[in-house]
Amino acid sequence: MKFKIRTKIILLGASLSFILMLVAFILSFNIYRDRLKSDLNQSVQESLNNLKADFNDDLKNDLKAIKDIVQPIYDSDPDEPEFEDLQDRLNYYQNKYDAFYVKEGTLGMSYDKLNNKTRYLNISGMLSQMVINSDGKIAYITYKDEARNREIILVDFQYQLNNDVGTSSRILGSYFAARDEDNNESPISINYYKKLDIILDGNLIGTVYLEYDEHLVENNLEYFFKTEIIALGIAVVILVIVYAVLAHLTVVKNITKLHKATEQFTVSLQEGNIKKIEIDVKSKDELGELGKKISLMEDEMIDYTNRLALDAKEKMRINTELNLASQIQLATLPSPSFKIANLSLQALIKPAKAVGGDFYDYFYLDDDHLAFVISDVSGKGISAALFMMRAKELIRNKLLAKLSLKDACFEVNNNLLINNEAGLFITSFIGILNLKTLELKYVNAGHEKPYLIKNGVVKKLDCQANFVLGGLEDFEYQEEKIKLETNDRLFMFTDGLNEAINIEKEEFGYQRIEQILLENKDNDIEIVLKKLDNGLQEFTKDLDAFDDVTMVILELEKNNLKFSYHGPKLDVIDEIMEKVNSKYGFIDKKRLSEIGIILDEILNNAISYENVGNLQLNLSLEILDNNLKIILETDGKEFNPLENDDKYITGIDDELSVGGFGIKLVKNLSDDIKYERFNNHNILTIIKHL
Amino acid sequence: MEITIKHEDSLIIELAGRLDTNTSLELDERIKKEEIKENKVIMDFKDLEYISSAGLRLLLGLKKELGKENKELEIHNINEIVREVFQVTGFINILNIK
Repeated sequence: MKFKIRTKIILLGASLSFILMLVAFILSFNIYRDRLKSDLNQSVQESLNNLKADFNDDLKNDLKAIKDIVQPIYDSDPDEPEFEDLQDRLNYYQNKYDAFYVKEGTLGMSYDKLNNKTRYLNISGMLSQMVINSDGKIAYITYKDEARNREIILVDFQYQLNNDVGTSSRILGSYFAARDEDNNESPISINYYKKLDIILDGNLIGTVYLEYDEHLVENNLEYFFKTEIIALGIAVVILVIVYAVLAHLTVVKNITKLHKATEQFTVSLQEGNIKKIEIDVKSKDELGELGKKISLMEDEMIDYTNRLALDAKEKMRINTELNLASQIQLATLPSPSFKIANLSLQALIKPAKAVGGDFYDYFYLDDDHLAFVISDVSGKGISAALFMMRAKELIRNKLLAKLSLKDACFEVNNNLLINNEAGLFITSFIGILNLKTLELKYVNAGHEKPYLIKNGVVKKLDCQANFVLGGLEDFEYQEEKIKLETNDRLFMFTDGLNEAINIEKEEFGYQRIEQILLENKDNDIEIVLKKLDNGLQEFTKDLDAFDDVTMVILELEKNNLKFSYHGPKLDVIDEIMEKVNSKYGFIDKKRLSEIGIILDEILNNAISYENVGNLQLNLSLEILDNNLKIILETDGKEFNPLENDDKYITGIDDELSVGGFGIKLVKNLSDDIKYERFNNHNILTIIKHL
Repeated sequence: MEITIKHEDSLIIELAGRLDTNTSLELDERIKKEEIKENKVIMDFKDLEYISSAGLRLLLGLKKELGKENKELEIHNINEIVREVFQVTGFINILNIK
């Protein structure tokens, strides 16, 4: 329930007070009722006792005299028949004796029939006095008609009160039928009575009945009930008010203060304007303690928030520097894309943090030898990045110093061990490719084995298990070699790739790498790396990379082009040019233009001046040892374009010899040119240095 | 090969790509369609990769045609390779190169 603590405390107090008052009420009500009853009984009994004392022998004789008058009347007819109906009986007596009359269901006899009226009045006077003095209602004296088991009234207290006999409902000599002696019911009408036997000389003359009304008690109780309810209600209200005031002073006030203070503090915290809120709770109980503790917590939180703000600033500064460091670090790596006459290389590096410990490198050792390296530094972050720079330069320097691969590794290893308290090391795959012979020498220093993709088959390159670089002093590294062929691919990577995990803690694994390599064996190597990267991202989803990921792929390319036409038209020149430009895009632009001019001239020459309808034209281009060799072979009659005079124009009216300028240009732009006639074919061979 | 022809004070022909056997034929056809009212034709070789002998023949023919009408031909913005071709063939001597 959403009540405030103040309401709750008041409700609780009110409930308890109410229950308490209810119990008090029920208890006091019962006690009071019992007391009232006992008081009534006592007063009635006392009156009867008084009457007994007052009832002297004279009065008793008087009563006997009255009885002596009445009794014979009722006893006179022993043969009285049985009556079914009361009224019949009453009628019977009325007829029998003219002093009787029937009134309101009783049989009456006038007191005038009595001989001594004074005696009667004395006794009835005593009875009425008793009724007045006590809490009784009515009183009368009867005798018992044993034979018929009836009570006959001898004296009625009311007589004196109502002088007119006719108005009395209980008349002297009244007769009550079928009154049971054991019946608690009074002979007349009222519920409760006490009786007193009047005895003279050992004989029972009559019995005094004093009836009283217990409704008197009930009426008193009703009054008591009303007044007590009001009194208790007022008491409950006063109790609750006192309770509420006391609760407020001792508890609620302090709780409200604590609540207000913490609320203000929370608001200040949320608004980013944190400030101390003093708590004014002086009580020495738990609430006072709580106030002190909250105050302490405020101080702690203010301190913490301030420190956090400082830390955030510092962190931002460090991040900025890390980003700069990352840019510098990546700038030390060579271009991710490298293409020469018969080799293409693509690299991709993704540091897990701003700066990473992975690196790749490649560089010429001389015109014919290309070295390449892929490495993974143990550890991550700045220390790994610094170590990476050191390792990278070491490997480069040692290899450029013309050391053999294994000696270079030996040197690098020992060098990395110097001043290496942090115990960092690197795993590396280092290769040196002879661009002429395609022989690859390599050392695998604790690194992931690269994949060799050959003839459409993906498999790991056989590697010796050498120790890491910077691990063990004077370790002798084993150098291996393999002869590669054109169209071979070598895929190198760091373990950040295969050990990348997804949200289910599953590793990316070798199988996925192999599958992607295989699926993309005919795609450009740039696309292969993109597919691997995409595959990795799809696999790890939003999970941050745990380790740096580096991939390098190398492809030995077949750079030969062959064209063969039967009956070519001039537009095949365009077709050839497009292919040459796309295949030899790695060649220097000016050189490529020169090759374009050469090809245009010799093709133009061949196609324009032969009987082209039946001409068979074969053109082949081949790159060997940094030379482009162009061979143009045509059938038909012997034609040596080199025999044409070199044309040099001196004026605009010079004759425009068609082949002249062309052949001169070709000769000038080529490094070697020769013509042969072989098997009825004209063979023009041109060499162009690249 | 992209050919852009502008009629300004002079007729300006901008070439991009290669001026070789095939593209010379294309350029020749384009120029023949133009009505040359200007007194000067400027060939802008800013974006020209190279020129082969077919291109040279076109230039020589154009220069002769214009010469008959007392009009001038200027070649602008030649690159290293075009200059080399002009030098080897002697065209450097007969063309007005700026």
